[in-house]
Amino acid sequence: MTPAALRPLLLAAAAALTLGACSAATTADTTQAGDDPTAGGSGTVTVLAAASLTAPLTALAEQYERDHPGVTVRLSFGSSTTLAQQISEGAPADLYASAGEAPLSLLPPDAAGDGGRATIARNTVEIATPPDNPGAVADLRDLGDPDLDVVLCAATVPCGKAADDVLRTAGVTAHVVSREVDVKATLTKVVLGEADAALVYHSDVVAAGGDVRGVEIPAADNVFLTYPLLWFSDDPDVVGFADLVAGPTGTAALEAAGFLAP
Amino acid sequence: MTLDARILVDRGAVTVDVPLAVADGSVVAVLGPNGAGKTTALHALAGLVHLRDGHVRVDGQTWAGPGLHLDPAQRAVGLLAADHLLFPHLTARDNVAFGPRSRGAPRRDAAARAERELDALGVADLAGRRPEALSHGQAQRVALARALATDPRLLLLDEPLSALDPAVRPHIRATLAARLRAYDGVTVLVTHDPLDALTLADHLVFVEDGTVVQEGTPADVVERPRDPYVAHVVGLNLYPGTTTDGETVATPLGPVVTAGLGHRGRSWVAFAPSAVALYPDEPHGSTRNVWRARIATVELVGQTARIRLLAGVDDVPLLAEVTAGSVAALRLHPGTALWAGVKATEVSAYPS
Amino acid sequence: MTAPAPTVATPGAARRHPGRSRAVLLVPAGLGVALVVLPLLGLLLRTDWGSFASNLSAPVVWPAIRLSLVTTLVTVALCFVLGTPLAWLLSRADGRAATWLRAVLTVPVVLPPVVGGVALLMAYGRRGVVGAPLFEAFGLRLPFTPTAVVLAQVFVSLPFFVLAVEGAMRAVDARYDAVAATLGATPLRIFVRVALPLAAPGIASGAALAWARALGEFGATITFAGNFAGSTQTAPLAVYVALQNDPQAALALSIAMLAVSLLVLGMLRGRWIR
Repeated sequence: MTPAALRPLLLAAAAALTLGACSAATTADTTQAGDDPTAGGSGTVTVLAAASLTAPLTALAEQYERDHPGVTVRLSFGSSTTLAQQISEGAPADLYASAGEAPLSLLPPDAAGDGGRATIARNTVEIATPPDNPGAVADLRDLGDPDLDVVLCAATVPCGKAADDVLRTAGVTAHVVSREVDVKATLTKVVLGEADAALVYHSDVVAAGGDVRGVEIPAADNVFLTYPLLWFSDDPDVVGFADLVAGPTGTAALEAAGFLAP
Repeated sequence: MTLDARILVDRGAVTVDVPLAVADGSVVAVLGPNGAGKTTALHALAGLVHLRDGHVRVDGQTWAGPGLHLDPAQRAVGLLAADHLLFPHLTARDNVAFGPRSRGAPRRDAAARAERELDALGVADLAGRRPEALSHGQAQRVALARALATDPRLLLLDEPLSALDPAVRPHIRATLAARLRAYDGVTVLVTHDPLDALTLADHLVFVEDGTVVQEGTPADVVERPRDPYVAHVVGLNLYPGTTTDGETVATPLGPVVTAGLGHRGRSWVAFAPSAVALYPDEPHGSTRNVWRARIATVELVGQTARIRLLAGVDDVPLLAEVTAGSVAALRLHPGTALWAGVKATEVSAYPS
Repeated sequence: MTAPAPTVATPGAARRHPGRSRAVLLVPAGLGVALVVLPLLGLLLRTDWGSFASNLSAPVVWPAIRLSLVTTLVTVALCFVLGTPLAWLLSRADGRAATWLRAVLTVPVVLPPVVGGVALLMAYGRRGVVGAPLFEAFGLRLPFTPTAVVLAQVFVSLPFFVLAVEGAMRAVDARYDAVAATLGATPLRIFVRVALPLAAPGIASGAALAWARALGEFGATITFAGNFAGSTQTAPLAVYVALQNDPQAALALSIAMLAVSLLVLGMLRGRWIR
């Protein structure tokens, strides 16, 4: 094929990729066909949850599906705010787990319906630095150093709000060079060494493993974020999954992922 | 001798090997069928093509030679192609001034020079026009003015008239001839039109398959072609042969009696188509050379008919020219069997 | 096949009726139009026009538009200065090196922009191949600066520009080069005085294409340059961020970008988009 003939094709492909790269939420579908589809209920439980809950909720969903053959738990992770907007736009959801209380205000007033609500976890803010901590960050005051590059989540997402709260409480004006769209992007800048420090949740530091080093912030300066879980129906599987997540098994899974017990 | 060149270039399967030696003020025409390598030779002179071997020397200055190649911009050349190739975004004046400007002339001098060159070719009134507003003939004159505006020592004309409407071609040919007479450099004209060559050139070089098959003055070549292509171009019947008595030459056509040539051995036999007479029956008389023939094609050009014949025992091509009247009178049409004859006094023969 | 004059109907004539077969084509064509037009209509219909002006003056809007305009104009200027000679040389080269170079230059066109952003970080980041020495020698840090925004935009849009302009340059008859050379023009003069003017329409459309690509740039910018209002938050980034807490401001900004895009398309009408 000649370069000239290839050109329109390339442009089309490029356009497709440009659009594809902007998708906001990631959907993890843990659908698994039961060994015997007639053995139990055949319900589907749809869960929309904050991205930070990806690992523990995926594990809990798999466990619930194992214990209840025939039931499918569909998980969709994304920004809590975006998910709340999607629910208010009519996206189907049986359960919604948010990072913080604020996004709940975006839900329609009657969203709770026949369901219920529980707090499943808490989180605290922590400083993340590259493993070698090039800026020698030891506490919150260091973030005001103009020689340090600090990245925060955007003020519109929970980790950004929490970071702003922490800095305001401590009276620190950090040398912020970027407000990243989500916590993953924020951590990436630290992992790559482009930024000297970021303010993220403790669970995010745990999830990042050895890629970043966590510097704890004393409770006096810190803020706590609660994770409410809402369910919107009294369907046995919906309630059953809510109970699993809010119960001791759920708490253990969440604690293993770096969250604090509610 | 101001142009002294031996052009040796590989062009696909053909190796072009053309020596050229031309004096100041003269025009050499390079003729040949399509694909003979004429344009390649011209581009080698311009520096657009690298020589594999050989040399190009102009006024004693070497433009190309072993290990040396001057770029076109460093050579004093002017190039005119069949398509005028005027820059479409520039006016006629700016097109002509482009060369002087490129060679460092101040804007005003270049414009004045352009006006003079356009005037010399009778197109000064078109100076402000873009090429799209010019006829082909006008554009070609502007292009010639552009090629001459850099005072080239070597003017290269590549089929300069072939793209023109036949109706304007004679006029432009006359303009070109007049302008070339006033030009003191060397002109190399590539053409396949014998009329261009005969009216414009002082010296003809025939190229076939990359090599020179014949060269000489127009008079010399027209009188004594030494190659079938050359004979075709100048419109003569030409046959190779040998003679043992210096009078009769054995050719593919059969024995041809000539006016005598004072030479023995390999020879050329040539005669004009108009010297060929056609007879419905075998003639008896002064005509010494007579062959059985069959008509292949008949072509009318004005009052003249060109008749292609297959003559002799071996059906050798033979061209005859008769009046249109005799075509009707003798009922000449393809397939007609007849007799063709040429008087010995009409046959010229010369050593090959 | 059939005479234009009315004749006795033959079986199957109705099926071959031109009007019907055109309808078969109209359905997918219409659906295609709907797929493009409906989202744009949605944008217009869901905008709160009553508070449009006040939304447009939200603090996030103007710095983002200004940054987008400044960086994209610099990007287009860089594309022109760097890309036009490159396109010219490519259009006149036939060797294997040119083929490879062309293929390499095409990579950013097919690369997901986010990957492009990562690649930019690996090159110009504080620990990047070029960025690390720059940072150590001069304390110069490219990410999180408007320069990084421009670098990201040039990375994604220069290939579009070069491909478009190379096509236009290729269409310029090479015999003009030869004639200009015999007239004494140097390669630089041929480029400036012959190739540039003759390829001007192609250069204009290439610049428009590059500009449009730069204006819409999101993935590489947010990955490489970050997102900070006033210095690296371009309009698409601002739309994305604002969508989370101020959807009406996001809509207003989107409408503003739509208007600018339409303006440019209008200016190109008849030249590039016929």
